[in-house]
Amino acid sequence: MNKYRDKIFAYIDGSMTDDERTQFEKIISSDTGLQIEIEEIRKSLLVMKTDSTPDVDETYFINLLPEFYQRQTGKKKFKLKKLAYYLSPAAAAVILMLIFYPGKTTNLDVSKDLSQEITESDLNEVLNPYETNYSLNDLMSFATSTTDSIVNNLVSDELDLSSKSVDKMLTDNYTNTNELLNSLDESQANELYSQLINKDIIKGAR
Amino acid sequence: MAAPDPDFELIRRANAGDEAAFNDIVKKYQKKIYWHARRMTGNHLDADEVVQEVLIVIYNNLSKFRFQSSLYTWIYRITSTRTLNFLNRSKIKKLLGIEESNAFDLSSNEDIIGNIEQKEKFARLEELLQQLPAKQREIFIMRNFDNMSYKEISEITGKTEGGLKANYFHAVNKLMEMMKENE
Repeated sequence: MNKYRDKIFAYIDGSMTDDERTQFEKIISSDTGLQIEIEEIRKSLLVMKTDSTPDVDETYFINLLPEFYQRQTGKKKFKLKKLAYYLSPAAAAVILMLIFYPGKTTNLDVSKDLSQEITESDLNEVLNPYETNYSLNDLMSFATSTTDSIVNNLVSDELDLSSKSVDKMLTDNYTNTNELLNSLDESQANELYSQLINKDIIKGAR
Repeated sequence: MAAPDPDFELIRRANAGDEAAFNDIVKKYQKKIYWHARRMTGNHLDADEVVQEVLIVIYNNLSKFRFQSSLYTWIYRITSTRTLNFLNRSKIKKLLGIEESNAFDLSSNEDIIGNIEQKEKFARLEELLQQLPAKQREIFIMRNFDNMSYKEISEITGKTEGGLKANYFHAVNKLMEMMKENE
């Protein structure tokens, strides 16, 4: 390796002081090999610079902003979808309530303190249109069996180990991990990265 | 008295809800953002992802701009941080086996470089750059391709000028050695 390597780089880079440059130029003038080396490095850096900005299809840049706004809108829609997904159990609960207590709104005294316990007579009052006397136990048993069937379906979906389901699990796993990594903020991502580097799990520290 | 920075007026207008002003900012700096991301990631698809991330950060944080640096420095700092963050996440994803690398995918049609000769030359350059550690690569790009002073790079990266010079010289040295080996 050339003993002047660092000085060559500093000279080409223009980061020498005036004195350093004058002194080094004296050395260069008496060393043909050094002159050739400096010229080669200069040329290589220039070639790299020229190659680094090729002509491009400008359509990409023209479409960048529309694409950005489209993604922003898409994200909002996705958030709404996500919200709908998370709200769906609540929606199901509301539907169940409507099934259990039809006509409730017309018959129940809505001004009644909600914290007050609903008695069996309240329920019978609500269910009067059906002219059936349900006991609280009947209703609880019906509610439990309905809930059980929903839970059973969810569990059987989770435990379905058919190849299609395994694919789905892998995809879900991929999506979840990917989303999790993408959702990390800078410090969290850097912390994770540093720990992986420190534990030699990722090679080639930058 | 120095002339007022025209970017500052754009920022004020954008922060007051003028979408056209925000668009002007993006149009002015989009190529710089893209090329930094492109040279750092080594392929168009990843660069595009970084660009979109950077635009989101600018969009969401422009109101927090304090007018203490130039808009260019601010945007470059965001671009640098997002790119390094993207590269770190990509490494973790590759480790977990949940991401296919887009780098060196020369067969990919997803590119904006149309000229085949230029594309090949650029691909060779990308390949060389990718062999540098990310931080050396970043400093080399800022210094050699974006003509930034060490002071500017220091403002963006938070590193000392001495450290930056050392990193830059290491990068040039490695690149020269790799080029010789490839000859």
